[in-house]
Amino acid sequence: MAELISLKEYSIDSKIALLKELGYSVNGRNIICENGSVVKDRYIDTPVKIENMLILPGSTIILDDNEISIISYFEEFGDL
Amino acid sequence: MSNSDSTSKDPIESVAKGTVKGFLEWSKSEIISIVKRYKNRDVAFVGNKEEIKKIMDLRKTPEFSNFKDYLYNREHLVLCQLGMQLRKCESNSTDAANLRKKIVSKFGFNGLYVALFIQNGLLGYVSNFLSKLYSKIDMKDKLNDYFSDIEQIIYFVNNKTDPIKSSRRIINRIDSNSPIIYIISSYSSGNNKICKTLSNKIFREIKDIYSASNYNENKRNIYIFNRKDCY
Repeated sequence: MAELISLKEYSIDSKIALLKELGYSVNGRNIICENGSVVKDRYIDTPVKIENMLILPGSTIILDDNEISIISYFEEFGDL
Repeated sequence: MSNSDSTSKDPIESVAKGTVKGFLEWSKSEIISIVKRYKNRDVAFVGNKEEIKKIMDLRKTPEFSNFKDYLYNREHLVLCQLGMQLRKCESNSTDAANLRKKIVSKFGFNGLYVALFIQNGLLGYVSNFLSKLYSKIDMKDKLNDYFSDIEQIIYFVNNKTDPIKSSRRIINRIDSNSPIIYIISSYSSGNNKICKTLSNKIFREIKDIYSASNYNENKRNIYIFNRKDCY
């Protein structure tokens, strides 16, 4: 099982640095892809906010922290 | 799973962590290292670790294994897990209402009713009944068909249910579809009274064709009508 790291415990600067290392930038509370588009949760189709994001394995999947997205991720990609 | 920011943390806890704001920090080298581990799928960045573990634990339960035996549609499996989540949070009416809203927003009312069907523990009963009539493959098809339009087989009573109007609608539905099973379900004492009135009204009209049984448990009231020629 993958080690779970709680982003809630980390500063906003650390989260921005993490996103930058993964190839993303931040505009206000939104996360921006390399192509300039706002990152949306693939399951609920809403922009993911930096304070409520999850970054899960599988081609860098950034999701909103909610039950539907987490369960949908597990159903698509399997458990962590 | 909450939207609360960690700035609301206990200040003593923050000091204990050795930071002014109560947040942990990664150095540049730590970030490079952790991203490398992430790309190897060794770490995942989550919100509340315990909430993630609880969801993963639900997926390991025998109940969920049964769902996977019966259902092959990914959306239905997601709804089953949301139904299990609803059952877990039903003692907290705010959490339950929030989750129900999210389910309706994503999956519509059919999705909500599927989740409520699971919350009420009805899949086991229905699949047991179907297993007496169908092969496993046909039973799966039947269940997936039901889940695509769950109102074929169930009505959920709420505090706005009018027993007269609803009984007419349900009887029409039963007359036109002749389902082998039909369920009326309610939760909470007020709704349970409406459920009883409604179910009695319906049963008076269909008793030549259907038998009835009633279960009460954990504030739930469930009436099940089985078509007599399917025994």
